[in-house]
Amino acid sequence: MSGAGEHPELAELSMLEAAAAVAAREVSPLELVEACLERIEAHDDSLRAFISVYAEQAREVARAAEAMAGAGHLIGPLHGVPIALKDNIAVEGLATTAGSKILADWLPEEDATVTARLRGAGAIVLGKTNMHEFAWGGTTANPHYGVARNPWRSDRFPAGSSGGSGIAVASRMSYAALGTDTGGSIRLPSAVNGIVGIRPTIGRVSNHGVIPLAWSMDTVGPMARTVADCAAMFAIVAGHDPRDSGSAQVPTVDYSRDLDRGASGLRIGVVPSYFFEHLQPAVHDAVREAIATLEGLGAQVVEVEIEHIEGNISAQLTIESCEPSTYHQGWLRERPEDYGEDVRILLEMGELHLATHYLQAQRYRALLREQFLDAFRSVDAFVCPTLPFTATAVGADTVEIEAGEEEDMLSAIMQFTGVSSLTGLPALAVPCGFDADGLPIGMQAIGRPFDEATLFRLGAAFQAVTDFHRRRPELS
Amino acid sequence: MNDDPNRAAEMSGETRLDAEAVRTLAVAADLPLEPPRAADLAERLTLWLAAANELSAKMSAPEHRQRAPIASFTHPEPEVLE
Repeated sequence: MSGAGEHPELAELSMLEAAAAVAAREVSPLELVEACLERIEAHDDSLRAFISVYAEQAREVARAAEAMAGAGHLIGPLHGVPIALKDNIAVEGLATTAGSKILADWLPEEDATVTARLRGAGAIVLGKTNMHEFAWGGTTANPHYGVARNPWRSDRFPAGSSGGSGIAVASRMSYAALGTDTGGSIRLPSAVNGIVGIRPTIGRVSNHGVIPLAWSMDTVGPMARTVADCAAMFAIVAGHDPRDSGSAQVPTVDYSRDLDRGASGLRIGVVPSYFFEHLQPAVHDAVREAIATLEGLGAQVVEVEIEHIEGNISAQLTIESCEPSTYHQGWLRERPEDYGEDVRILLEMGELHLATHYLQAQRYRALLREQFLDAFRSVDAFVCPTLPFTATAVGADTVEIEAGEEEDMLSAIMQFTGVSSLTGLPALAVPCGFDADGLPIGMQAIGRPFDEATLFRLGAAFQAVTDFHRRRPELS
Repeated sequence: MNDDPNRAAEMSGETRLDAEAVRTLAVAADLPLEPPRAADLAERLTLWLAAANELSAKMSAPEHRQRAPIASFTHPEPEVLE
């Protein structure tokens, strides 16, 4: 058995390549674990992707997986493949902090449903990734477990709240990871770290065992280096869960079925009056170029107007204020000093909204959903930027999108992700370029409810003719 | 309508909260909030509530009167999955 020092190339395998290599007995699960641990050892002191690393447990499971593979038994499609989980996803008997001091000592009595499904598919949990405290924020500047940094440039942020998962996948510390997405927390770090991530249709993936942020918008989804990896991981975690009262009773499909089908015939919706306004020029140009690439593959571009799209940022901020403040009401009174200052302020603000604000925002969701569903009569997916800017400075709480105009980070970062969060529609983030500083740019494809397969098709078609997803950050 | 709280304040000049008003809201919520914290919250809360009030005005229009709040999808929309 050899370690990653002898096989540094193992960390470069995609998740599916790693799984295939284990199945073919070309690589052992322990070699994969060691390859990841070596990357973590080398780079996580500076990047802060992980809150907990289960090195010995992972090695132990890997040895068992190797023995099983040797006997001809593979547990499932991810047999022996190391993955990471955001630290708001429960793992039985192991700390699940949600990036907080409040839950620092909490040991879950059972796995979250998604944890159990991944373990049931043979995956090895390497550890728990860093996140914005309680997922309430978009920077992953965590005051308790370390300020996370972007592997493409360590003076830039990794976005959030699933910033640690984004770093871990982009920097080859893990073959894939799970994140959670309420207002954009899978898609935003996927975009700024140059990887793929999907926010599922709400109800498609179980939230059981996941620390909530905002119940009516919370989702769990995969983050990976390729669309194919993302689809494969999604297939494992998707599906009805009777233990989640919000879980949809909708049959799953083969999410990899259309990966080779190309983009020809797909109708791509573009909303120029909203999604291509108020964003950095490099982001605008990269996403426009990506749409042109899809058009070149035979997709048809359809310009659409969504009359009531204005309103989505406010609705999202209102809902994302009120619901977390409800969940945290007791702790905010009993242990206010244990929150980071930014999250404490947001929780206090959420208590000061009126019930009418909250319910008007929920009524707006119905309006916005209706408009998008109507638009889906003429398009198969919308394509737009994931966020209007590339990675900003670590620690910044404002961002400059247009010259000379400093804006509040939280409002600005969810400018394009709020639509699918509010409507419940699935959205896939895919790398589509780099800015002049070498920082990744992501596009976002928004699909019909429960039609994640079309998003994977679109993303795979794009990755078949581009190499943005193959580039990797150079780490010192 | 401009719902971005970064820019909404210019359009909703009547919504202005000072520290005292924030403290009053906190009392209603039974939320302990020292005066310095109330002052810290006032500016940002003003922006957010201005945007929220704009959205409330929009949703109070007669054309939306029959619209009920929703929170989740639990099934596909048959007409779009045909």
